Amino acid sequence: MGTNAKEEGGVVIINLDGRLDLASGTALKEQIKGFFEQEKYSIHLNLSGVEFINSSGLGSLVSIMKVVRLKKGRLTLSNLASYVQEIFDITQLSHIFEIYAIEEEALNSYNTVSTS
Amino acid sequence: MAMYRHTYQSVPESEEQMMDNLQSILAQHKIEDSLAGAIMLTVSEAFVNAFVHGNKRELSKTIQVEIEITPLTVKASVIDQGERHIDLSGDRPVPDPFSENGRGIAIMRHYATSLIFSGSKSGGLKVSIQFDRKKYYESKILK
Repeated sequence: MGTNAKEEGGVVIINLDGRLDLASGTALKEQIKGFFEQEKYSIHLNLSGVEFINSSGLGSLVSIMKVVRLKKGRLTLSNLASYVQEIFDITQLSHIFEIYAIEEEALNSYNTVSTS
Repeated sequence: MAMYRHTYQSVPESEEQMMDNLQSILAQHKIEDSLAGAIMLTVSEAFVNAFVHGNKRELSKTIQVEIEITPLTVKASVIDQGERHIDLSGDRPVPDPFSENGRGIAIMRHYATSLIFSGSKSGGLKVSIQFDRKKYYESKILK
């Protein structure tokens, strides 16, 4: 799985592509751990390039979300392909993640929250 | 009928290798994209279960994956070398939403036409997955 990260308005934005499975999920957790060590807990994951996700990949996202919540940060997701969204629905994880249709909408939500 | 059998070392990198092999087999047989995706997802879940819960990540153990393709069905078997790590008797509860694992079997049950857990001859767990190709397409159309 490939990832690239940037920061915008205090939010770490990571674009994911390829397969999100056991090995790549572990690598993603390690990558984000680096941001946690810098006290950065506002994380946005753009999943537009994710062509496959299984329960191990979902478990990695849950693991990241738990840390973020503990630190009163936010984890948002966007651009889920329909088959990826379907797996979130089957596992009932759609209810516990903040999922936006597009990245712009997700990033706008950070501004809304911080100014309200 | 076409039959494929691969044996993988019990290491995290084997999942990628198994997926590449499976993708190549399914493409070779021109399995339609949505069914191919469901097969890959289901077999990957069984494979990870075998690696993590069956073989307990022991490098010395292996995982065998068999794929059988006929005009009517696609069958997959995933066999580990561990002790039988899954209660074969029935349903498993839905995991806590904040649990990092425990969703694999629910995903397998959702996509497979049939899913059977049994003991293998070598003593490990054998997960037999079947996709009825016609039934799968019909269910997709009805959705």
